[in-house]
Amino acid sequence: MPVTAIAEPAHQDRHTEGRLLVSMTPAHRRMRCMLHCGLGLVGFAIPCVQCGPRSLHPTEQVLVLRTIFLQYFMFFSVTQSYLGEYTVEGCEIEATFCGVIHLLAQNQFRNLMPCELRFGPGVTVVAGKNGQGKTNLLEAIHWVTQGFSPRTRSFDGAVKWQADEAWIRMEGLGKTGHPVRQGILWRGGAVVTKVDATESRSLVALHGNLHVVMMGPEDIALIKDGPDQRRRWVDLLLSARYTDGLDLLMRYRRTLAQRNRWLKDRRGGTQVSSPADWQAFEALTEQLSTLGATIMVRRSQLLQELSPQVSAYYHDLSSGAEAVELEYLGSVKVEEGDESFVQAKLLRKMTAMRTVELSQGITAAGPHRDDIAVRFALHGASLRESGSQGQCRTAALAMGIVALDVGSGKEVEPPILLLDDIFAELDAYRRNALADLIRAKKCQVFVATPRAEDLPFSADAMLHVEAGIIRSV
Amino acid sequence: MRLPKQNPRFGIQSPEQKLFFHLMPTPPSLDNLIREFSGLPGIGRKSARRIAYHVLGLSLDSVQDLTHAITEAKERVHPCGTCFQFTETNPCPICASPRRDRTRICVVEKSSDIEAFEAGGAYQGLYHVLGGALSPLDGIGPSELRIPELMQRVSQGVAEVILALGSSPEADATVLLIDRMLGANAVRRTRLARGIPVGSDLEFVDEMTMLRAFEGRVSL
Ligand SMILES: [Zn+2]
Repeated sequence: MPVTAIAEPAHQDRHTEGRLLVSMTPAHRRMRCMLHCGLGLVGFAIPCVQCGPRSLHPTEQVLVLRTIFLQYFMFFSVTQSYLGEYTVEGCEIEATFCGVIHLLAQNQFRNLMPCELRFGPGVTVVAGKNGQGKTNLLEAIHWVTQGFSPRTRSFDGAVKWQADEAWIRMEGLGKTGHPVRQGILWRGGAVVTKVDATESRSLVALHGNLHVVMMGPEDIALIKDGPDQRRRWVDLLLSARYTDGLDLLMRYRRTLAQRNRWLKDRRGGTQVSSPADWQAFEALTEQLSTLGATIMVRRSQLLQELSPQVSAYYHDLSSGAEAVELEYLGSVKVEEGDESFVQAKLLRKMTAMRTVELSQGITAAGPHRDDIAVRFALHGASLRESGSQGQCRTAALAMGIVALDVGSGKEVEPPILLLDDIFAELDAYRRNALADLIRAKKCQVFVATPRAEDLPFSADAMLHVEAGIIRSV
Repeated sequence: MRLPKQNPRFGIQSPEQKLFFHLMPTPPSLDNLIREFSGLPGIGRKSARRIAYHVLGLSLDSVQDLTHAITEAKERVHPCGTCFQFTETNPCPICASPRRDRTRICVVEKSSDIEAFEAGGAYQGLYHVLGGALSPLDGIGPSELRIPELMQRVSQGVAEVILALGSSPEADATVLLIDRMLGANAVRRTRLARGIPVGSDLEFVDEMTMLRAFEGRVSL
């Protein structure tokens, strides 16, 4: 097992605070602990710092208790799935991994020819002319790890024309560091998913083992399209930031569906049968406004906090000096943090709109109707209306990178990145700036591009796609 | 050791890999039985399959005992006329007991919820089974729940209504609805506390439970 390890004598007391970073490169075969720090690694050879620390792959970091380090190490050696960097520290017992995809195989997925691909932990570049299948490869990775695609709603649309069976499967390490095997089998319109040995008919079962994020040219929709894209963005951040964020959003969505159903069943207000029925409606309204106010206040706070970060990334990515800002546009004005006040206002607004709601059969106010303003800080003009294509694209990228930051906070592991042609329309300056940002994220990256020679970084592995055939270069 | 000739990145698909998925055809009547079982609450397709195969392995007598037990329970058990929990007598033993505290009513969604409270033995009052929670999506409005009956009972002099409903959004809406319908009635309304199970190590409590436990903290 080829192994390189870099020992960093960070502290004098090596027994409690010795620190060991281990990284695998093909160049080294054996290691020995030069620190004699009690890790039980005698018999392996570790080149010390003087022998030349080498640059580590931008991959996951594992922080493990020294007593179980050997166990981890042996496990990864034996399974040949050793990933990247270990940090062993005194008394902490914590392990954070970001997942890695080692293998992807597919059959009859879009225009791709059957293939089985192996990936390393670094940057894999997928090169090829447009329309040859680069994006399809990234999409296949997204389907099999997340259970959905940013491009289509149902898997049927992603199966090769007139194929009667299609499948994708992957192997890798999940975010808890355990080996993961997942697959989707599509046969005659029905989908079966498999996670390790467990079969299911639900695509949702695929979600949760690996955190994969796809960024591509269609992200510009975040700026250019309607408010639902921007709401989805901020809700993603909300569920990453707050423990009960996802629960809150699900409860709101469910209660909204209940209330809408009540309205729809009594369209025109003629069929309200009893006072108890009205009281049920009022109970639903009260519940919805309480949940809604909480969402609105949190979204607003989150945007106040993240607006400078988006602006900073926007600034880094654009050569110009303009700054952008984000602001929450709520159904009612959201003041500083007072949920009960916002709830009262939202409740008043909903009551005022009751006639409209009864005639249309839908809930007319609340966080599901809100928007986020993305505008130039200087003169307040909205990017959607007055920004150039390049400015909108840059703002969407900046928002995407902020989402990665929030997503890779303390709680969540950094994601595997699928970057679909996002360097294409950027000038050399922006390309370099973006590359720096991505390198700082330390994760496995897949980059699809028509012009590999223009990429501002070197690939660890290169694939070439032509007419659905994928070759390694 | 012989090395594969082709580029190792792009192996040809092996038979085992094809077998990664295997779907076996099932006889129609067995399939039907599995479908019946998987319609039961808490039983997934996999457990349903296991139970169905278990049933097939039983003797005909045992299977008849099973079907008889189901029919008999269905014939003899009915909701109590007062609290609507399932019982073979009317009123049910709890409603009939002279030892129960008649000034307290614990409101639950379904009959089976009562078992948990009774197992503890800490609660000595009466119960009221709503028969579900407010859910327009499932066609359940106030008239589908036994709320009028609850109002009737409360108006006959009850000191406390304990709303022991679940944690779903529908349960929350039902609590709000009952609170509204009780209106100006002076009866005390309480909800059960949510929090950390007694005796559990804090390390193993999930984040949501922890959050709810913090929200529901009480002063010393
Ligand atoms: Zn009873």
